[in-house]
Amino acid sequence: MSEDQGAGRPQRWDKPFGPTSMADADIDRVLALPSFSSVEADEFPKDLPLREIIANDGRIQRFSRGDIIVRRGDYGSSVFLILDGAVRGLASEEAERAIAPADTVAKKGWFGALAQLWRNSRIPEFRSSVKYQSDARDGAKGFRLSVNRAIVVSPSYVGLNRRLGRAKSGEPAISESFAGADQRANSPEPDETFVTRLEDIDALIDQYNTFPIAAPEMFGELAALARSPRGATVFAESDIVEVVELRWQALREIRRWSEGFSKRIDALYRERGLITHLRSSPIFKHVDQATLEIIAGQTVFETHGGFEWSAAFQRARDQAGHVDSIIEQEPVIAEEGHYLDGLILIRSGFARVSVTVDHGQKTVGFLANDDAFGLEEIVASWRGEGDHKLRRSLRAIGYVDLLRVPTSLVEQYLLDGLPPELLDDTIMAKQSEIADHAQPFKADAETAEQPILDFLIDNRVINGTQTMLINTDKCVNCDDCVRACAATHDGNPRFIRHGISHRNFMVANACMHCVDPVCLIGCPTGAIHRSTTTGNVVIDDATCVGCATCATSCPYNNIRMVETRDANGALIADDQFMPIAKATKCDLCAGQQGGPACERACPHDALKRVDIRNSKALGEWLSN
Amino acid sequence: MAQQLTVTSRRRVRNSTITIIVVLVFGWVSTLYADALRQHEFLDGWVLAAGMIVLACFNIRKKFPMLDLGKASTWTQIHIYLGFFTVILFLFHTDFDMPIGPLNWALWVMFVVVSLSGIIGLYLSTSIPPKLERGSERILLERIPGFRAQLAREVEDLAMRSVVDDASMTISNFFTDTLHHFMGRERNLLDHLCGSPRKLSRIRQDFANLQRYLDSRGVEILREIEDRVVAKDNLDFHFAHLMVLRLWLFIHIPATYSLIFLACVHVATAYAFSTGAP
Repeated sequence: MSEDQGAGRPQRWDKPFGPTSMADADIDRVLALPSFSSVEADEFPKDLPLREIIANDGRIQRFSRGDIIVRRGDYGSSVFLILDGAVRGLASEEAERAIAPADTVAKKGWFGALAQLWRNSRIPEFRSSVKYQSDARDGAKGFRLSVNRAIVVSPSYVGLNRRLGRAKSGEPAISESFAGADQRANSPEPDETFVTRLEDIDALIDQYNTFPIAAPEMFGELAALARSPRGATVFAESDIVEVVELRWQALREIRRWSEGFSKRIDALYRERGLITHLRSSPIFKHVDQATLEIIAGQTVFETHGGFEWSAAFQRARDQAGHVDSIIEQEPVIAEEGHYLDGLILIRSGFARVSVTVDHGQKTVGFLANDDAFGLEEIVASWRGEGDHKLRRSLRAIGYVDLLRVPTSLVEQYLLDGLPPELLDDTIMAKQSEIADHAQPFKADAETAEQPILDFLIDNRVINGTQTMLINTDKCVNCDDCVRACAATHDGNPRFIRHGISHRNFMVANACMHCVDPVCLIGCPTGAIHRSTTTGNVVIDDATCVGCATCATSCPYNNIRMVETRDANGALIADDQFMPIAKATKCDLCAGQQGGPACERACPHDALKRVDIRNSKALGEWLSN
Repeated sequence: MAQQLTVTSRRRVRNSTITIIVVLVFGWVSTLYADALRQHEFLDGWVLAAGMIVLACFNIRKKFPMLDLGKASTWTQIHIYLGFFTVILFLFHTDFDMPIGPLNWALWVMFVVVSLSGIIGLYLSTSIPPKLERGSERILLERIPGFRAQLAREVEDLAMRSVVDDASMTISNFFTDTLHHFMGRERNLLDHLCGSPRKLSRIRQDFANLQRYLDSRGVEILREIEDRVVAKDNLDFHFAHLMVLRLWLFIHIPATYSLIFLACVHVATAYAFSTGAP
């Protein structure tokens, strides 16, 4: 290997979280926070010092009053520790609805739908330039939101947020007045990001339930650890709020090496989320509060696999050209034949259930949110029919966040009162039926389902709730589906009638509206979000800044970046003459009559939007 | 037995039964109509005209995907079975006899063209898609020219490389004499539609025969070329079938509109020359 090659190898912290690594003085401020009081630097390995973790996986951010720091529903990839100021979270569904992007596309009437025939633009990806003259929009209940460019500067923040000026007729407008311009000249290259600001937070606080969080508390740790959606929107309440934001990687490292920090985080999780989570599982329905607290006190919180599974999956697929051997890369959570030390509850992500057959693993199902693993074995052992050994293996498909309830507690507190339907031989299936819309895909080795199951899991298609499947035995390539999509999206089809195939079905390149939508991670403006009314993943075109983060993150290549054009067909460009791009994808025909036009337009019933976890519907459709 | 039927089979049985019942009911009504000393051709004719209009509306429904006009697959089923019903109705209407006069002949011919093209289209739509699994991947019709051009370039490059690497003209001559023509555009379409592998087999025999003149490097290049020739043959196979799947509609739809026009003229003339009550 040449020296050049060695010198060019990318390293973990080549690009720190902030524009530059944090300065020593700022690291000292972070370490002085109560959350770090029990963290000792010498607990960390020499090649992974605590200060380096904070310096490179952390950044100081400053927000102004009203700035939204995290939004409910966004997928968490960082935790926030408040250095200065106070923030406030929204405590009710009504409050969240009030500030949510007005959902959005009103249902078209008959004439409005028909009018698309002549109103659709002949220019591909046409956008009205009026949209770009105002970057403010109203929330659902009239709370005005504005999207501002904010500057994140570390180590010394110089306050370069764009400020709101007043345009004529009292309308808020964005002004270009930069405070602290002198300092900027001496500062490192700023990193530009986008902040959405609530403009009348006093009214919001008056009208809705909110909760305060002040320095030096932390927030966002649950979502960051579990990569689950943020539970509440949090915005800056004081004029200046200064926080240190730590990437999830830092959170995991510090938690791993510092027992004190780990205990603190676990305690926070137990206090804020664990009991609620346990209560939602049918296995714990019959348990009283006191017992639940005992169980919660001894429940272990685990994560398996990599957060950035989508990138790893894409790499594996691209390198090998297929995904048949991907099971070998999946971390083992529990192994067949080993001692079962606890009941495993999946909190987020997916896990593959497999059994050993000769020299390989045969997939027999997969588990997702709220599914349990190991109960069957514990029950068998409790009845004297087993020996606490696992009959199946469990592997992390991508990233899995789980809870492990010790076997002794399950036997002591849970089994006696467990509903009979959870104690019979089909215990797993029964439990899943009780769980809302969750039925692990069961495959019988004697049927043709096994290869289908392998295909769906290996290609991570199990993530889809509205996956576009095309029966290739029926599809005549008429393209009516594509034309229907274009007709309902201003002349631009939002999917490609092509994709990975197995036997007689194809998974087309159309947004699957995933259970775990990794495309949401990292969107700087929240333009890609779950619809508050339908739960579908949609893109707000007005707030999309064209950064392509979502398109890069999507493991299925179902988001496309397009360059926008004006009424003359010319590319719309910014003041640097760079074309303005937008992320586009299937929105399930939001606002259109009758649901997805592609499915309705197929004359041969060859195209269907399928929730892959609904194995019954999937099986019926495939066997037609 | 009934439990073993797929949804498609069950639907086929149901729709066929409904169609047969409707035909029987119509036959009975038509008999009553004739017993009342009325001309059954007027009843047949108007029901036939209405049926044809509904059939033609299927294409119109496709033009309005933004409206909630029901699933196209439901329309397809109605189109198929109503189509069979109108064929039977047409036979009643013509008294199972050949037409008289040029207008009626034109109408008769056009109806036969529309019906036959529809039935053939139905057969093609159900028989061709499963065949397209050949080659493991579905290929979009629009992408075939691009793929073919890419393969042609690669084959030409390999043939040229053989001259340099192998110091032999065998492969380049084979390319000039045979492969250049084969790779130039879609070939052997009729053979593909008939399911005959004859042409590809002959080319592959040529490949086998050439090996005796080549060293190991030449054989390696020849195999790479052969892989691409097989891939190109697969493209031709897809192209032939995908084109047929599209082309039958170019007969069926224009003929339908011509038929409706002729039917309008027929109605006008029928009433113009009718006598007494229908």
